Amino acid sequence: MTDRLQMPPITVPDKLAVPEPNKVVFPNGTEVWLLEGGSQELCKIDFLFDAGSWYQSANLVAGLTNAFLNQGTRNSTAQQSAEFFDSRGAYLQQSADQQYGFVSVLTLNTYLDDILAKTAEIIFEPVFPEMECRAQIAKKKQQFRIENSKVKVMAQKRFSQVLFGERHPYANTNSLDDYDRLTREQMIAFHEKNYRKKRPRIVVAGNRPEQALKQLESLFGRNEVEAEPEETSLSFPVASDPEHVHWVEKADALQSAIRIGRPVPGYGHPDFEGLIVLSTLLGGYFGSRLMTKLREEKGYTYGIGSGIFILRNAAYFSIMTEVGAGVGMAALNEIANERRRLIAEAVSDKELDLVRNFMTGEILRSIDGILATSETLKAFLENDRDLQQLNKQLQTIRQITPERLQELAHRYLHDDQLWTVVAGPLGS
Amino acid sequence: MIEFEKMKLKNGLTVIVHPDDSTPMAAVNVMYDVGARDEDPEKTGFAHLFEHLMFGGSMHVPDFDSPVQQAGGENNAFTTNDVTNYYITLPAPNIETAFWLESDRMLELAFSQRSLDVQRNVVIEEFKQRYLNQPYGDVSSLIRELGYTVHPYRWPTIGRDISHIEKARLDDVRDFFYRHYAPNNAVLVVSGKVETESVFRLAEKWFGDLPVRTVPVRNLPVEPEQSAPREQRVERDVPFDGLYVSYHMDRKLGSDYHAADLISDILSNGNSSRMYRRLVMEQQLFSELDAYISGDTDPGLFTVAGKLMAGVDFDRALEAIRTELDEMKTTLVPDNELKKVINKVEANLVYSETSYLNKAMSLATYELLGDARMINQRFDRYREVTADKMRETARKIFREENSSTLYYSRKK
Repeated sequence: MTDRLQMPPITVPDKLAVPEPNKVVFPNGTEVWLLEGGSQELCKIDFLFDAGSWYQSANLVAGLTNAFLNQGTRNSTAQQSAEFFDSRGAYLQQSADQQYGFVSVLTLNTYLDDILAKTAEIIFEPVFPEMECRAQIAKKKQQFRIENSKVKVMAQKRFSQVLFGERHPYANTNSLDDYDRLTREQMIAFHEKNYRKKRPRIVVAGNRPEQALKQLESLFGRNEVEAEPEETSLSFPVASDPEHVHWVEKADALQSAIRIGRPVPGYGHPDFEGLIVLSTLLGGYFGSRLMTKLREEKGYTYGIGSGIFILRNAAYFSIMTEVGAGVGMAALNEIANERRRLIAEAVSDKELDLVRNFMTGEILRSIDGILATSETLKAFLENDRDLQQLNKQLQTIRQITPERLQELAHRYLHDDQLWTVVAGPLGS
Repeated sequence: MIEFEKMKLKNGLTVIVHPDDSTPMAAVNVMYDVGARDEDPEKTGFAHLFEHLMFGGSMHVPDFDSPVQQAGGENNAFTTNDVTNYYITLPAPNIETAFWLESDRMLELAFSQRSLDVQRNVVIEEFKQRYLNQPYGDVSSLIRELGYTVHPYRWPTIGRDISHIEKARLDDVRDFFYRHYAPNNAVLVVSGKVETESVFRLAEKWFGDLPVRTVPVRNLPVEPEQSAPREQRVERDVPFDGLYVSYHMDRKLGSDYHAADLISDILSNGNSSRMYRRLVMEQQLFSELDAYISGDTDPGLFTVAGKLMAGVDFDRALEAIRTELDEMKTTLVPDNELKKVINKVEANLVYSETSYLNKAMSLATYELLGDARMINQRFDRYREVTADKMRETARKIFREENSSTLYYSRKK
């Protein structure tokens, strides 16, 4: 008879087989990381440029310069470029955040050289044609209005302003008018400075990544670039709002979006890894305290989470949820109770063990498969770390004590250290 | 080629194993042959509500999630109109924990009133978060209601009405479980760093003694052929008008299915697709425009969905969509364009095979459709499609009397 009352024995790995990417430096100093794995004949190449909103002189410039790279080059129209990727089943993706401009391509190995050549053309030779850009801007304005009618977007936006101060580049202050103010000249200048003259960092992942090297070197390894990134000269002080509670009104909403959080120290600070464990315990997994209380016990929400978000020059802790319009205050109270409980009581060994094992699984998943591994490496490179950081995290996870977590909660999670933003119908 | 082995336990549970050495993890995926289409029209949203209750504890295991997390795993589930799917990924050495958990909740749920009360609220909040409190959130429900008259695809998985969820009783839950949750109504697929023989042994150990249950034979009303165009106009608090045109199309195993899928790719997959190029970029009639198929087991819908640019009226937008659909009916797709969409399908299959969990889900899906081996013929079905076949399929689908048009106006 099978014993169904007894959980089968489990093992949790105490060592990680962290993949070691092969690093190559091109003659112009451009660094390339090669990750080998998988059996599928494919290759993914990621380019990271120091070209996020950190470097822009006006709202939207970084984001739209990046978005419009593929709207036409000296040699081909947007349509021809799109045709080029689509007909080879390849994907070109662009995005920009506060710190970086990203270009990413996924292709079958068969087309690798052609796809890289086309990607380089898009990165280096865009012309930002007036007509295409105008059409794209009109489109993006409409999408902006749709997005900004969602409570979670309203809350997140205000939260970024409250946390960093409206003048900080990590604060999202984009408005509809910014789209009309943006000029083609601004994009050309931004591109010149932040794409053409800067070295990207490149991650190549696939079953035979070294295949890409020769072509990459000829395209990205020999052009002239600025010796020193200007970033060292840029600094922006974080200026959090003196008022700790903010409400963005949307009277007819059925749910309120809530953000609660604060700036926290990032990589290199002795508290950093421990804070990740603390925020996981609070709201970082399905069985977390916030999920258990607000979803599984109270039924206030479909989901609630908390985490540490890391940007190159700042990190912050945030709790995020959307709750029924009628239970907004009750939800805030329950969240506060859970937070205070972390300060008042040490976590039990049993619960901490669970969190440890879950986080170990998360680390394993983050290097599970070639595409996941390359995402993870990219995220570390954004902060000048590499995959070895995973071993450091694993070590913290295994060694951290209930007392240490309580101490961190005491240091970071008191009422008067946190900012709260609610978007929706909840008043006062 | 995705290699796998298959066996059937005495109680009817199908077990499929796909070893994949490129990962240290394993996926344990259980797909039940029950979806929103199996619901009573007066108790919709039940399959999905039930999916939530499956995490509320079972006969010998009071808490489902903790052991998964204890084993370093992650789990989730989803409900479609056709199936309900549960999956756990975890370090391969801990795979037995997943067998223990999945077999126990297949054996019997705890049926607690408390769990029902809470999950009812959670699902109601999900209803609000995903459908009611989002701009355009009720579009998919409206399209279904307009497109179907009798087939249960006429309601979405979340349910036709919040009140159905509010009224759910514990007896309904019990009844639903015993009707649909049984080894003889499920497929278990295990993929990742595993050995076939030991998976079969574990399957026998944990699932072998579960009782066979009487599962009612599915006998769904067949949607009658549509004979006249339908339209509906609604007004909502959204920033821009939306336009949605749907047509009935073939079921997933039908002979026109793959041609219809490729038609949707020609029209709107990628920035070089026809509708994106012409109607979004050149004529600037839409800010977003998409053509997609529902991909259902029973005959489904081919939908063109667009958000209009400010200042564009419905007539002009509709005319532009019709012009594109008409071209599919009158003119053969040129060879290079057909080759383009087929290449894309091929590449997408290669990309998707990097995930052992994806492969497990696909194997389960095909097994419920009739035979897991179809997973290795997926690409052939697309490659066989000719330009003639596409034109013929377009002529069958894009008929005025087969259309349902939803005008989704912004409140002025």
